[in-house]
Amino acid sequence: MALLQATDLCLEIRQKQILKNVSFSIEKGEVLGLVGESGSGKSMSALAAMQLLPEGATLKGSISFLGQEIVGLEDRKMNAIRGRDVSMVFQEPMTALNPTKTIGEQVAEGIRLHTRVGWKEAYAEAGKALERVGLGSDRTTMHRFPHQLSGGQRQRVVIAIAIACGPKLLIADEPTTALDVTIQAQILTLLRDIVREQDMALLLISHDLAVVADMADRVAIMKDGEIVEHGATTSLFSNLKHPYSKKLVEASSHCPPARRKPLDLTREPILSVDELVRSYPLPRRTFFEKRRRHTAVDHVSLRIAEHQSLGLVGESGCGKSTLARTLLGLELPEKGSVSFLGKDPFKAGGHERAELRRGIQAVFQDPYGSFDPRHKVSRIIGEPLFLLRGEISAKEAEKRVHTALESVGLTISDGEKYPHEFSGGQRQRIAIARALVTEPKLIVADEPVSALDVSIRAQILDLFADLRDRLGVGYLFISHDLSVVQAITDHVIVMNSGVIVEEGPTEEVFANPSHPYTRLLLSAVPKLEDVLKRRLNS
Amino acid sequence: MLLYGIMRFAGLLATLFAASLVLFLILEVIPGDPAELMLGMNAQEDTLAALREQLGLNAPAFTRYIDWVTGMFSGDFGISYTYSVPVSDLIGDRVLVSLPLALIALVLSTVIAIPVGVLSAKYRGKALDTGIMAGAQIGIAIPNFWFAILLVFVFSITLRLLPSGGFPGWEAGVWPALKSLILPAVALALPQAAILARVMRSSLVEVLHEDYIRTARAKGLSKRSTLWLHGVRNALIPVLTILGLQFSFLIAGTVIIENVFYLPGLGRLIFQAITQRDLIVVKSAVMLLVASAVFVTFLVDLAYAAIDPRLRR
Amino acid sequence: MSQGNSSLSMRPRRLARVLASKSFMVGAVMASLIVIAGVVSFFWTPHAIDALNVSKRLLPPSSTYLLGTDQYGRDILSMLMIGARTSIIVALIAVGIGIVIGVPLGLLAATKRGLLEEGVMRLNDLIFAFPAILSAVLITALLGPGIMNAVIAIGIFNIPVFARVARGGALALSSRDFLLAARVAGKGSLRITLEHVLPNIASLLIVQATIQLSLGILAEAGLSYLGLGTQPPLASWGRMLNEAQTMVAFAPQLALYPGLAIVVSVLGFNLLGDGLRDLLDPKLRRRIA
Repeated sequence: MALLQATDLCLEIRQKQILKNVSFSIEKGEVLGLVGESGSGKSMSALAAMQLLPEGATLKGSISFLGQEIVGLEDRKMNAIRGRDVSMVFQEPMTALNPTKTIGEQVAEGIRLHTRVGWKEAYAEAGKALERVGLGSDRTTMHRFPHQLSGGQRQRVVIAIAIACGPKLLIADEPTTALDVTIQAQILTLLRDIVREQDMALLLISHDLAVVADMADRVAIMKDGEIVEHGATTSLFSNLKHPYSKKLVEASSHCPPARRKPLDLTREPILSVDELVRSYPLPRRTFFEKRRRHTAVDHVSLRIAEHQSLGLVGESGCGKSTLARTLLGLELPEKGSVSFLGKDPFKAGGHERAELRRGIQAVFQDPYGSFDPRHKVSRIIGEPLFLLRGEISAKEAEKRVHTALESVGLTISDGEKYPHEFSGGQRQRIAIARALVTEPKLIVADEPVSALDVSIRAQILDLFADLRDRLGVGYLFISHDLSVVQAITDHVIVMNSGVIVEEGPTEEVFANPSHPYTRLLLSAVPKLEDVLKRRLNS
Repeated sequence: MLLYGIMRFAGLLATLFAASLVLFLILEVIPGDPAELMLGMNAQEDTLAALREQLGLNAPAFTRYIDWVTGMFSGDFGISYTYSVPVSDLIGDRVLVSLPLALIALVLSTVIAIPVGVLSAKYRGKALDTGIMAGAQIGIAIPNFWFAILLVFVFSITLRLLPSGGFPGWEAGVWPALKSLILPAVALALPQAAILARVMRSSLVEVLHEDYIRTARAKGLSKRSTLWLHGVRNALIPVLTILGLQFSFLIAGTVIIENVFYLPGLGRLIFQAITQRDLIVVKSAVMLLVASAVFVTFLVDLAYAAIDPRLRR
Repeated sequence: MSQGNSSLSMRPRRLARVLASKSFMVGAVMASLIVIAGVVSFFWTPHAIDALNVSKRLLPPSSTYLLGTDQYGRDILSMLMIGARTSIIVALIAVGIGIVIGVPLGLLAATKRGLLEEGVMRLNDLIFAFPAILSAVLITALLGPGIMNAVIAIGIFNIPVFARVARGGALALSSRDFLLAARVAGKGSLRITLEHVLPNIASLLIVQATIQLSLGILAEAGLSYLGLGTQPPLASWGRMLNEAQTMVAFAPQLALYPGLAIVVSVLGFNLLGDGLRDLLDPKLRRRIA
């Protein structure tokens, strides 16, 4: 008998069909991976198994856990199952913990509830759970509050809460999506070890095919509330039948066409940065402490040639965004120099400054936050033309906006709409159009595809490659995602704690990383084909 | 925590200093000649001179300010011009009416509002919630002095249960004194309770949508335990802000309510002193009210740190 | 990915929207009733109110005097209409003072940060330490009672309120990438504030304005009740209540009408504000679209 057997789940939230006849089962000690893009219903399937669906949801079908039907089970009985037999790890470790309770208290709470022991014993048990997830069990750890921990540590606490009572089934909903790649690898290893050790079943939900392929015994692929294909991991991936699954796998390892025109690196670079330093004051910890500073960018030098595409890789807090903001002229450098088209943009004044600025434009990460919701798309795209005020007529400005719209694959009539009328991928096209409107030499793209689903991501990467060949723009491509950088750049720089640890031609760096940090980064993000190859061989 | 406390205390002192300066400027510097302001345009020159002498107005403004502030620290608030008694005595008597009144009102509004707000959040979207919130909307719209008049009409004139005004003094016994504070306190408390209940509800509804509430449910906590153990405590943080602000509204409210009920409190003292242009009383009594409001804000800030560990460094 | 999860935290929007539009409708009807009464009073009232006529005192409601007369023989309905005019003018000007001074201060604090922000916020704390009625009492002590002084006192109290809302709104926007994009387009902070920040916090300010409008009506009534606000012969709800109080044992209806008028107007503007908040919420708008 399966540990958990879901049969014909149909879920409706406010007249909207979220799940359609979803069936899956998990055996004792088995890892089931559930993959799909946003809106595919994978998270809702997990919440259905926990019976924690949002208000106003109607669930039909059956979920039997150890032979007991839990759909429509009284809340009182379900409370006894939750946390004891079935537990859950959530996506957002930053918000999943109560900010006003110590972590010891939060782990011990569930233990006390299910085992009816006193606080003292519960704390002792909580200590064991925290130790198991790699946090100390000493008093100082137990008495810390969530805000005193890093994202990875918080996710460990969430896992400790989930495994504290030794559940038979653990549900992990995108447990590593909000974390840095190296932390992601640690958390996944931790989950795998715990599940093996305690013979727990794991329902792993992720958008990341490689992660699921690496962890799961069996995989189910979801689309629009339905499971389109499922099976044992290796045989499923080696023999995909459904067109959507094929498309998904293709998109995840998608590589845009290679550069058509070769680069000329002998010419004077368009952008050169020398020994750039930027630091921020840290808040004082005690009243008498001298104010310390955090050096976000520490003596960084780089060159970008005309038409070149440079990748900048690093984890959160490595200084890559600060560097980008300085290059865009949004922040003053403290030390060092920046030279764009042979001039220092921070010393240039008035007209010259505007001229330099229009040569370097930006694409931001968040396709939702980067547009003023009250402006029409044409006004948004035309905003950088402010740098050309007095030089071009209103008519020409309009023409430029139209050209930009068309070059990113949108129509002129799209300019009359508001940004909220577009999907995430289309919005990123609008953002690129805005960057193109001044006909820049260089576009700084800060995590431009991180917020997008894989299939959309592939399209946007193709667009970047197309513009590179067609218009000859250069890119500074900033990303934490190595596969993205590998796909689109000629040259790559790896940053860690404000310092460049390695740089070189992209192919070389990825084939033969010399710095240990680069090697760590590369090993932390497995590629789907490598994972499958390894699993087939073992 | 200590650093936080020290910083807040420094803020308290700074606000008090600024407030005293503003008061002094408004009452003694901007009018030009306070003595003329107190006695009116057609006062005799020799009475004016005598008053200036009595008020020490011949000294430079800076000295007068320092004297006033140091005087207050040693309990010397000057002599009232109209009553010819030390202001400290006047204030001392009146505080014994205003402070209990404000405290009763504060406790009353909190005791009503918090459970009602929690109830409303618990049944959000249901008929009970809609009813409570409609009631709260009306409660906010009722001016306290009108409510006071209605209370007097019902409980004093029609039912003859409680006095319609006046204060027998604490010497007359605790119960008679308290009895005359009941209607004023209710009149003060109800509109405040309505505001507080709304804040409590919206804050709790917000908290109940937080991810950690789901974490608590996933642990196996029942809806009820989650509401109380994880919801209410965190929802209290914004409620505290409003509570702190409300104290200053309550103090302001006493000025009106004490007039409705003819209560010899601080608010009525200030009001009378203003109509009699007794600036000496006005200056010190207002300073006292402001100081108490600022002090309560300080206490609220400390309570914040007790509830929210993110503020403790 | 993240959307799938956050749907758990979706509020019952549909219900809220129905309620919101309901409260908006009810509020709009109540508020416009008061506004219309006030505007009409400029041109016409059933009776003149400056002539005292003791022979017609305390008349019961009739076809001539729809709500009866007060102890001085004045028509209560006419008094209420002029009272509406007084309330709304005082509250409107006070809100105007708050917006004109408070919003730029708040925006300045949000854009410049640092010492200036600290200064502006401390100034706000200072004004908050003087509750509206108390500062009104003080200003009256200085300038003597009168309607203009009431306006100034209430207006001063509105300044920090709007400064706070403007600053909070601007800070909430400050992390949005479209402000960065505007800077990349070479725009200065003043231009960005006018083109992007102000339009995006306008709905917040409008909602706050309706709330302050109702608080202003309450405050004017309170001050006039104390005799510090509107002076005769101008009618004001607060003054009417003051005069009615001594008569409450014999003519309780005199205290009823002005009180109800205050409740209706305050309730009206509050409901209007609540309704507007939900209707103007851009997140909600996105959903509708």
